[in-house]
Amino acid sequence: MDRKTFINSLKSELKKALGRKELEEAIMYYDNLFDEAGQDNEAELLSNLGSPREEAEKIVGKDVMNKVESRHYFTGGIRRLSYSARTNKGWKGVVQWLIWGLMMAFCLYLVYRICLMQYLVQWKIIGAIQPPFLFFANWSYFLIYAKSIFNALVITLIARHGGYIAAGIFTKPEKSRMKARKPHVSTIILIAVVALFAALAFHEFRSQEIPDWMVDPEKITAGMPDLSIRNEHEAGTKVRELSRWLLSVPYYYIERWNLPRVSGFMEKHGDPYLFIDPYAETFGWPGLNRETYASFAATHNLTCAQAHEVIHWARGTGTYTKIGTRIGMAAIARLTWGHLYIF
Amino acid sequence: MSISLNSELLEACILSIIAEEPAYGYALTMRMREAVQLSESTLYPVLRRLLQTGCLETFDEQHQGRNRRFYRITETGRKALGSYREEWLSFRNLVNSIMKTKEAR
Repeated sequence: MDRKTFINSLKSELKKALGRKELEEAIMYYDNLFDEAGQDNEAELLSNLGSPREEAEKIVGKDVMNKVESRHYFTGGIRRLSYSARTNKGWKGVVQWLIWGLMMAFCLYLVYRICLMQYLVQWKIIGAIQPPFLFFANWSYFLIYAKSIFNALVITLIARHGGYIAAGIFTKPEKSRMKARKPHVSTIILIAVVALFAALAFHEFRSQEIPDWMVDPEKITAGMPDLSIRNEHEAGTKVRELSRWLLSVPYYYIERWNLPRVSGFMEKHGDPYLFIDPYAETFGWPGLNRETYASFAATHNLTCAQAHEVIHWARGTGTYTKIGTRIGMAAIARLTWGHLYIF
Repeated sequence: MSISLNSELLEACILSIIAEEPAYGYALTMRMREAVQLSESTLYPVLRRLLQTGCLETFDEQHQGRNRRFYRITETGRKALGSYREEWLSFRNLVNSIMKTKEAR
């Protein structure tokens, strides 16, 4: 570390806790120290001084520094990593910048998938929503919300703790400071919750019996129920079969084969209801005006009246705005006319 | 020397040095190093506290084409130094009596 890097780093540390005037005052003191020591004694002076962080702690107090840093709870790790990458010259710095870039990209991607994508779908800018880490496809709706919390925890874990860890890779003082730091209660809770979720996901995955035909995508049709039906009575049975089958498919295959994510199945007044995951794809779902009926009907080779009937029926399921993929839609559509099959 | 000074004693020493004539940070460190081992940056928190309590004030002077920040004592600082000196005398006597050094006998 040279004088310029030391002063810049000290400035960025002190900036967190001091006002402009006090900051200038402190920086001037250190600048004066370097001036008085002269260029020949710069290295000696640097070795006498602590790290910029330690010096900042000396000036404003360790508690104050920790307190102000906790204001940047979520971005603290990323900030620390970028600081470390700046101070590490050569390939070490480059590696840390690369890790920083990957972490930033991943976090931004998650933020996009969780927060932004929903609105993009709502505003019809894009047509699908598939949140990541959906381990719990076959559980209740509660888990859809639990998954969002899990995702938020993952972001925190990566942005804060990942950043601190990556920052400590090549920087000894940082590393020792990290070691010296007691684990924050929130960190322990965070790790415990993430571990619990991971264990639940693992348990769910392990406890599912995966038939042989499911492992080989080419054999999928062998395990799928025969959905061609001849009358209304058979339609109900077939929907039950289809529901059971869809509910038994592990999430991995649902994603891989682009199946509708069925979150529930029930019977009401003797009618079968198939609940499609509200986060399932919304491609091609017609709106409720005449033009979109016509377009939907044309796409599926139906009359407008039939298209209306499909939508009307689907509305009754409570999932009409978020109905699933083509398979789910087709299943519901065909059920209406007593012909249920997948296409 | 294995005996170190606490922050109040450092404040008293700094005030005492500056009371004689204004001084800049590096010079203060060198002067203090005659008595105790301290790093170049140890005094800044002390100076900062003295500035905040109004015991010191700063002024800049040009030196070889750059700014050198000097610290000078204020009236408040002189009063504080006076009370520090009194406290030091009684403290020193107490310690001497415990340590049974020559001065205390």
